Amino acid sequence: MTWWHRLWRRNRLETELDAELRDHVERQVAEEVRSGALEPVARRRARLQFGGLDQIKERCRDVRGTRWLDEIWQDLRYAVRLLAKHRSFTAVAVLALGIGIGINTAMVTMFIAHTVRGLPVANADRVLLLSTQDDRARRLGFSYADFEDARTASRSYEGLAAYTGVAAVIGDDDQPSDRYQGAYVSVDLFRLIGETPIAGRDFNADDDLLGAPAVAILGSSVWRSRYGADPATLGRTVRVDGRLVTVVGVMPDQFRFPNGANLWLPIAQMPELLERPRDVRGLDIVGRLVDGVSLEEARTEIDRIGSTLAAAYPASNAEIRFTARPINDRFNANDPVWDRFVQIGFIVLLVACTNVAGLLVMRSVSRTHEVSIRASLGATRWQLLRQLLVESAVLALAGGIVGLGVSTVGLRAIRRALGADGLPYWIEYTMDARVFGVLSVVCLGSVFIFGLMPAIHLSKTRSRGGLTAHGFTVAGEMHTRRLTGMFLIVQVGLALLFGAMLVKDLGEYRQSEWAMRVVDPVDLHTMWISLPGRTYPTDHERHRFYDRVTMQLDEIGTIDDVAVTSAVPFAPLGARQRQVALDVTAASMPDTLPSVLTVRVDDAYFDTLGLEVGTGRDFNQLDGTPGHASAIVNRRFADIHFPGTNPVGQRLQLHSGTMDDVTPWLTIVGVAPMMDQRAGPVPDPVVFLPSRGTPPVTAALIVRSSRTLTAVTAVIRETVQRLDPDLPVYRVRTMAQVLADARGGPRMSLQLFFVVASVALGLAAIGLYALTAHTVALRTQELGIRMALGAERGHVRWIVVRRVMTHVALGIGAGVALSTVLPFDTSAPTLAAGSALLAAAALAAASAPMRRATRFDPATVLRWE
Amino acid sequence: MVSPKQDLPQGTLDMLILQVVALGPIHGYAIARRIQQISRDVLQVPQGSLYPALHRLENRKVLKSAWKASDTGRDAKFYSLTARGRRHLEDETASWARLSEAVALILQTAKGETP
Repeated sequence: MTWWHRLWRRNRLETELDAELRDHVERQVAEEVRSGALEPVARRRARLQFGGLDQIKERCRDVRGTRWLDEIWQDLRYAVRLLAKHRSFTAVAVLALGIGIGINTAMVTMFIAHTVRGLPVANADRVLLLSTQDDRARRLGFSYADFEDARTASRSYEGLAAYTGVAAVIGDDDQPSDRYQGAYVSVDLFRLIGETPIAGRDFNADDDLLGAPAVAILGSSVWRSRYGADPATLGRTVRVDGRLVTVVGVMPDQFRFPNGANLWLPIAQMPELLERPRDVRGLDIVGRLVDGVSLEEARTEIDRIGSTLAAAYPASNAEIRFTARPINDRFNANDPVWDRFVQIGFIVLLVACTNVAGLLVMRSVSRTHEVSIRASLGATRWQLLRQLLVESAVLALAGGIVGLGVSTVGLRAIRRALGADGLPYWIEYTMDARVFGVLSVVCLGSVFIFGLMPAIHLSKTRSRGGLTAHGFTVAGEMHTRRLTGMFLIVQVGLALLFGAMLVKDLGEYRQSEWAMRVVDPVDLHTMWISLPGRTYPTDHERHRFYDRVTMQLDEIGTIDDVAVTSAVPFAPLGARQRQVALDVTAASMPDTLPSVLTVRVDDAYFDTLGLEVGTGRDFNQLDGTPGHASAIVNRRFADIHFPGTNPVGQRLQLHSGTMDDVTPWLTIVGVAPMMDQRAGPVPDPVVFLPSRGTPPVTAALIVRSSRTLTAVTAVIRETVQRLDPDLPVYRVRTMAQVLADARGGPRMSLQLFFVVASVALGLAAIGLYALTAHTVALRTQELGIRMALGAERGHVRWIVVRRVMTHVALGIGAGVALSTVLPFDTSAPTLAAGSALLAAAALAAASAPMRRATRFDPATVLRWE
Repeated sequence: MVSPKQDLPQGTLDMLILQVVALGPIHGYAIARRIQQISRDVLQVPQGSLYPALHRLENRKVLKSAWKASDTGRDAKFYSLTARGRRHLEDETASWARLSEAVALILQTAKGETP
């Protein structure tokens, strides 16, 4: 019979035990009767000899090993009854815990989704991502030539597959063309990461041959939205970037590898794949390790292959090292903001726990009597403690359930606020074993944080024999006071931290709002076009196309202005990050150059946005043509690199990737206002380049028109497609939407911080209020006596204020100390503001009981005992 | 009928029970009687120890039990050895033999040296 059986079949066991012992007695009686004794005598003797039946039964029950469970079951029922009786106490405690645990769980869920879980790939730790590194330890991709050599030379992998993201236009005869994210992939990529199409087939080796019939695999959302999930789509011929391609498969719903892709093409179809030089490193490589090969062995091997290739092709590979890392090292975020989220989650939980601990200590005063009685009736210290801890555990469990609800609702709200494209495809805010584990540990741990101290405190009652009328003893009261004082200090400290953080986040938010307001978004519309390399192979053709579009649009009356640019304001998309070298520092070129964002704009850009190039001049028709290598920098750039001097006339040079990719020296001709190129507390330095020299392949049209977005888009689309019917106009947004999107991300996390910090501050403030009120109320009697003995009202008030302020001061000290230990950016003014706020809250909390205390009739107070 | 009572050394009760049960399925009362008889009334097993011991051995899966009709007409709980119990008993008896041999040896030697 197993332990579980013994637990669940208790009733049967009891009956059997009784029957067995009775049988024993009966046999003994029968035997004595046989040897001549009278039955009543024999029975009496047998009973005597047998001893206490119930004692033997107890000892047999002990042997079962389930006794402690019976007792806990008893404690549990008692706890539930008690909590149900004190409804308001229970509600407050469960709510506080629920909020604490809920916020904590939500933060942990997000943390795990972003930084731990990674791609949903089977045995992800066996899948490696290969990349290269240049001499400055910058991470680069692979060139196709290096990839092929590595694939031939390596023995550690079941296979190596290359991929690279691409945006492609799908065109059909029966519907307008549209643009999708896609990827060129090696034919065995899906097999290596363990994905199979839901319809049709995977790529196979034949698709990889040069000159093979062109095929494509669609994402299921394209299959559904564009082709109505028609099975006949398989085998259908569509145009991808104007090229005829046969659809052979459809991938599952959630699969968007590598970056929200909806269309996959064999890498052999990549234009001029084989002609690409060895130093064009745009490919990412994944490989699945053969069983038995360790990560270290694979690293050593790929490093060796890299060295071999460096020796064989010194011109391109001399400074290049090959590296390998588990794939999720790349796909998991490495952003400290997630650590901060989790820290905040735990601090909120701590605040909630302190709150509940305070409540429990407060209630312990009224429970002293009950506990004293139980102790007098023979309950051991451990039994008392266990009873109290079981109560806490029930509270924690209820809090955990509420918390689960809070986190589910909260995460759903966050997910909705982030929008459909707000997160990479593999990130889902779902509960998993890890989150549940953390949640359980948190619930259990919080029992000890908030339950243990009050329980120990209360279970000490026994030794003090607190069986006086109210269960009060002076010593007990002192001890309670000390404990509540301690909780007060902790509350104040934590509340201070949150207050300071809130003030700071609000400040940052204001600042970023302000920085974005330079451009007035009214009447501005943005949309994108992308010129395929097949039809627009050179700068000249691209330039001609943009010129024709802008000229035709200029003739349309409803369009006031139109500009062509590689990136729109407030959105980093299309702006390129490069390093800048300045003429003034050319003598000693440093090893690491400062970063800037570069944007290519035409001469109508600033006019269209309604901005004026303050110092110097705007671009003109000549800028960007040979002999006119010029640039405009923004105010931020000027402030950083030319503080106090006029940058116009100075020269700069832009570097990117490898040192070989360098622009000629450019002369600064003007300084643009400081507008944000991407959201953030601090604006980026930006260098604007004339698009005349190198027109962007993918360009944004910024249009000023008083018409609606739909009307403007229709006009633009018509104009563009009159010039090129296979050219979709996409990512159509008003400037106001662009602005809102740009603020979206940071605003989202700010709002999140704001909500969480407010909740925590609110919790802490309520706790502070309750504890202060309680500590003062505890002293009502003492204060009444003082009054009766002739103390001045003012003096009594001072005693109370002094006590409360001591705690608050100690708490503020603790908070300031914590703020230096924990990685929160707090500053002296924010801390000071927070301190003042909390002191005021504490005084307000103390005032009501204080007034009551000073108004008591001394006689009433004295009669309390 | 209070016999001269001999306390059982720690741990030997289990062994005695197992030894008695090894002879065939048997109920609690009979076990107590059998131990008493075999030891010629020297050893008496108090019920307060017998039943907890039986239950403990059963929980450890050294003994198994079944309710069967007995001579009295009532059902009684009959204990018998499990395979594990048989092994356990062999081990116990062997080590008990070694122990008592050793103790006897020490006692004899001690007598020999100090007459």
